[in-house]
Amino acid sequence: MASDPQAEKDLEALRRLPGNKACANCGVLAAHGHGAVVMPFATFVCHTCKSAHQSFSHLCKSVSMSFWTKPDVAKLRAGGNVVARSKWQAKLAEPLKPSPTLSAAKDFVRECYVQRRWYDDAAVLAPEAAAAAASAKKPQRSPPRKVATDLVRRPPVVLPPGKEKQKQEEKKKKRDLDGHHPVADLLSFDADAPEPPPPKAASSSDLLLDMFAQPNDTAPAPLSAAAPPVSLLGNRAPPDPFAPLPSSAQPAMQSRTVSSPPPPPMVQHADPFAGLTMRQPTTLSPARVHSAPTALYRAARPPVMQPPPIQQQQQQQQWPRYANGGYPQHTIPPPIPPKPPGAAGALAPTNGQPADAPTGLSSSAAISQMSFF
Amino acid sequence: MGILFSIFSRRMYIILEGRLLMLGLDAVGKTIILYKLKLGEVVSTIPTINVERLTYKGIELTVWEIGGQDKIRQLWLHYLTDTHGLIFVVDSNDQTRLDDARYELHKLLHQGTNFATTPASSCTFISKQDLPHALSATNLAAKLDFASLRTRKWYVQACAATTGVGLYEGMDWNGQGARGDV
Repeated sequence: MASDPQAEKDLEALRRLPGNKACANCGVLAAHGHGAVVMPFATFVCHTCKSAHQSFSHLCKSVSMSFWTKPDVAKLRAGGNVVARSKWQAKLAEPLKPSPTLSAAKDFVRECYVQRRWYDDAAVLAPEAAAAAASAKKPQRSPPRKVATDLVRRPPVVLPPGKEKQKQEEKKKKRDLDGHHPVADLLSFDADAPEPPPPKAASSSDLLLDMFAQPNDTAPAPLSAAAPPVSLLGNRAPPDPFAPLPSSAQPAMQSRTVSSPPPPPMVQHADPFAGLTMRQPTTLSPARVHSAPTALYRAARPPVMQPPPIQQQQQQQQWPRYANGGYPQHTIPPPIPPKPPGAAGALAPTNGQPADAPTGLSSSAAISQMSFF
Repeated sequence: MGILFSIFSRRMYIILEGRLLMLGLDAVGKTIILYKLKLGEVVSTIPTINVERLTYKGIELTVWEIGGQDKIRQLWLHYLTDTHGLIFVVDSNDQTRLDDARYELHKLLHQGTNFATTPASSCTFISKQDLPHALSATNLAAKLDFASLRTRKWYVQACAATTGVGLYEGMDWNGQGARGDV
């Protein structure tokens, strides 16, 4: 697995878009864009907000130190800070102040993404409008923002006292969206708002056109513009990181409470194969571990001067004289290694020890110098 | 007398020192564990390479903590030389990346065996046990496939770094490993 250079290039451009330069949570500006990405929500965030997300185990990636693939970047292109803000912070009255403390950022993330206090399903339509605007060749990201504010200005929905009910409804709506039922989506939209704005016919036709258009993955120029249809669908059904997990361990996890974690179980297995293995487990004797000064001393001593052994072998070896060029069957004489002209004098002196034995350091310096020239 | 004393102190010093290496995928809580042990508090971090000296129960431990982002995972191998113990941290709350964690751990230990720079023991911290979706340590030990690490002493410890639950039990085992008792 390796990173895709083209994807990284696209990501660099995405991160420098004006909409993404402001942190999605606290809005603090970074001159060259933020370096952290929260993948479930496709947002660019500052370091403090990234730490807050990490404490809730939201998958965060680093722009410079993570591997990036084209689907990842496509998801970010379809999402981004503006879209995410219009979706997750749709009903937010007081935004978070820039560069918050870690605890404030954590509280915000909990309320915004875990409890979904300001989440608005209707804003899921925003990326479609963005795609429609993109097909009309508008380079700026302002159209989705405009749509989002329109949606925010709807008559405020009065929350019923039973929040649980509403949450269940939201989850139900989500499931409907996951199943790609546009009818169900519209119905839920109607139920949510008393006077919903009618969906624009033009935008939907544009959307269709855009869906049949070729996805331009490799073209780097219209980054803020067209989103490929796959990512559009992905936005209609946003990934739900808090959906119940299908694992079998689920009921056990739910039965736990946060306030009183169970005593940590300790697992220690005796190794049944210890006697059977060929390799002995390495035991570290203190003397061996702390022999570093001795090793240094050894390294500092002058190197032992010895002629290269291969040459000696060649001189001593006498091949039996056969008809086939003097070599035994299936045998090729060992090739003579080409000696570097400079290093030969220092490494293999012809007459044993040199007159003035240099110290290890200076001789190695001489060698490197000679081989350099 | 002075010679005797210096020999004695050097011997003591040699025995009571250890070098630990803390590894794990990104965002599993390595730095928080380190600074919870060092300072007793939780800090906010950026991807890091940290070195801290801890004194734990009379043992002087040097803990090297290397970031776990995709591109700096390749550096892990080079820090394995002359380590007494390896601390591998796994996020019990993030089940999607368990396979990655298992792959990286086994790859590292396998490569370490080839380079003959293997640490004597590996302790695995199962972090973030205080979060609601956490898997238990027994489950995780099975999923990380420790049974195939035959020639190595290993130990799995569940912990929650923000509260400090379970950290000291793991460090006890590490200290014993550094002394060579285990």
